[in-house]
Amino acid sequence: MLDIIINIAKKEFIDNIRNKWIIIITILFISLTLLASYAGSIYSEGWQDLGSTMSVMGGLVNFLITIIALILGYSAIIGEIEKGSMDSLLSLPAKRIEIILGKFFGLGIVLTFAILTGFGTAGIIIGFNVHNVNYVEYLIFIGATILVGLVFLSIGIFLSCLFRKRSTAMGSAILVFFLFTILWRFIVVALLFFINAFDIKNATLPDWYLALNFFNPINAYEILLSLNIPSLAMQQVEAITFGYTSFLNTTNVLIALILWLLTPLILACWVFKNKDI
Amino acid sequence: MDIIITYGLTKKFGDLTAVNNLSFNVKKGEIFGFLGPNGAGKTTTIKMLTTLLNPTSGTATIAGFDIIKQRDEVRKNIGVVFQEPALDVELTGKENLEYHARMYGLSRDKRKKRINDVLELVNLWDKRDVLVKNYSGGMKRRLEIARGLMHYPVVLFLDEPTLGLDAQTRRAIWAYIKKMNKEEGTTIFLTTHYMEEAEYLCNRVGIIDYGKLLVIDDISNLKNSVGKDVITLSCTDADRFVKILENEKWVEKIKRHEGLVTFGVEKGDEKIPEIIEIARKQDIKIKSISVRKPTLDDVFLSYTGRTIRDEEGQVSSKGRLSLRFRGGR
Ligand SMILES: Nc1ncnc2c1ncn2[C@@H]1O[C@H](COP(=O)(O)OP(=O)(O)OP(=O)(O)O)[C@@H](O)[C@H]1O
Ligand SMILES: [Mg+2]
Repeated sequence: MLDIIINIAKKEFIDNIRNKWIIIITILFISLTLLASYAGSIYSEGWQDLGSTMSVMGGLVNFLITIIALILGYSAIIGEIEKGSMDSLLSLPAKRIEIILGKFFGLGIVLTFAILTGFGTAGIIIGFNVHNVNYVEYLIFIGATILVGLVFLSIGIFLSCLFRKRSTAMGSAILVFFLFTILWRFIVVALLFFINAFDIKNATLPDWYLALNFFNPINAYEILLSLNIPSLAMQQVEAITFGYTSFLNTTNVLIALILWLLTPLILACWVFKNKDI
Repeated sequence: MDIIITYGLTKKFGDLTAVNNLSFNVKKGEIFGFLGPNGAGKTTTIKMLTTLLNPTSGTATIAGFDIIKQRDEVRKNIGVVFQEPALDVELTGKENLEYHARMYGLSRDKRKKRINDVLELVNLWDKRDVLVKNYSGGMKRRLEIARGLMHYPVVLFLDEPTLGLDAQTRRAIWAYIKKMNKEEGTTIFLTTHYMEEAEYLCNRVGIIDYGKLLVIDDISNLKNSVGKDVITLSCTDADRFVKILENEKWVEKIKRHEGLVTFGVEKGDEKIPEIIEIARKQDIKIKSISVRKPTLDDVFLSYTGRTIRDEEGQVSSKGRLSLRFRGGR
């Protein structure tokens, strides 16, 4: 079982080295971070410390990680079917669940590797240029980013199993991207006004509204960061204004993200198992 | 011993019944051929037997394992070469084999030895480190066959192994298939719509058309069933002549096809004068007449009512068309 998963994962990793994907993403992350640090602030010249760098990058990383992870994921299965190589893969002793897991781990390593080396290299370069570096915070940032990346990878792989054509899988991935990065805030606000639960006098938000954050991995990621990286929390206007209710704590947010990672993956296995190729 | 047994195997795609209630057996160690025109259901059958597609109804066993309930066991015992090429073109020939061998859990030593063996078998040892995207069509096909053999499968499925290859490469591949059947005792299940291929390679064949198995038997029996000799003639007023001949007791399986009348007889040479005499009496003019031993083409014609070349004709005329189109530019 493990041998087969490793073998598939390894192949996936090698494929992404050969098609240069991994290098492209890594370079993207390095340049983005350096740019955010060096040119991110209009108030000061030169290198900024990691805290400000992270806050400058904050919004951008959400978009970037989401889209990259979805791109890696959505073609994992359907791409192989359209290429014609799925038939031969399925005729091997590998179980279908092993194929899904192999793909997930392989692509997960690609993503993790790119984030680690990309942000890591940039972090070290910045570290040489400024005095007050808080590497612990930066590591938390990298870890959370990897986690949310894996969540969207898992969603992408699920979409890849769900559709019969690459184009529909891609369309649905784009939809997911817009839903969680852009549409979400409009939807929840609309919901809030529709239900009219916003108590203006107290200026407090209802619990269910705050709990909705669990249902968007990007929100969960942002909360995770602001809860654990003080220099980022300063920037989070929402957090300061309303405060977080007790249930929006690190443990719960982590559990939500892990559920977000596992659920699509399990669904992917189930759909793929019953699929006619 | 029967290594493949199917029980009413059926596959429907919506309204279309691609494979209709197939029940047949394949014996251990034989080369079995599945003959049928385009769209007959050959690939669909192979995909069900190799656990890629779930049957709509019916089932089958391979080496004693059920294709629905014991999918994993089935796959451990088979090798498959699909009709559509499915190699990793970004890997070298050897890397492709490595990947497959690992999936079967072959140990490092075994892997190395086996890869050498199968590469030798299909004559690709020299090209082992070349990226597959730089292989020719025939080389790719040979590599796929080698890959199918990596894990000493009990049954090897070959879906149209020589489709689109030139005559020389085709002969070479035939030789490899025979060799591995003989040297490794692999049972081979192949589909083809090349009659010569089935004739050259197979012990037994099944003829499938519109998803239905029309007949299955040894090639020699099938040929005998058409008649000891086959007479083909062209004449005026063919419809009437067919009706007249049908009434003769010694005429078997008479068919009209594209202006030619074909039927089986015993001692064909001696029957020719008699046929000419009948025609003369009825004022029918025979333009040409020939006698020969029956071929699989005749068998196919007699069971399906058409020659398999009709289908191929369509394909190649399409090919010519596109060629002309390109040439005209
Ligand atoms: N996934 C599918 N969905 C719908 N119809 C299908 C599917 N696969 C095959 N068919 C149809 O089933 C029939 C049998 O197809 P199949 O590929 O088994 O034929 P074949 O004998 O292999 O033909 P060929 O010689 O062209 O390879 C065809 O009419 C084909 O269009
Ligand atoms: Mg076919």
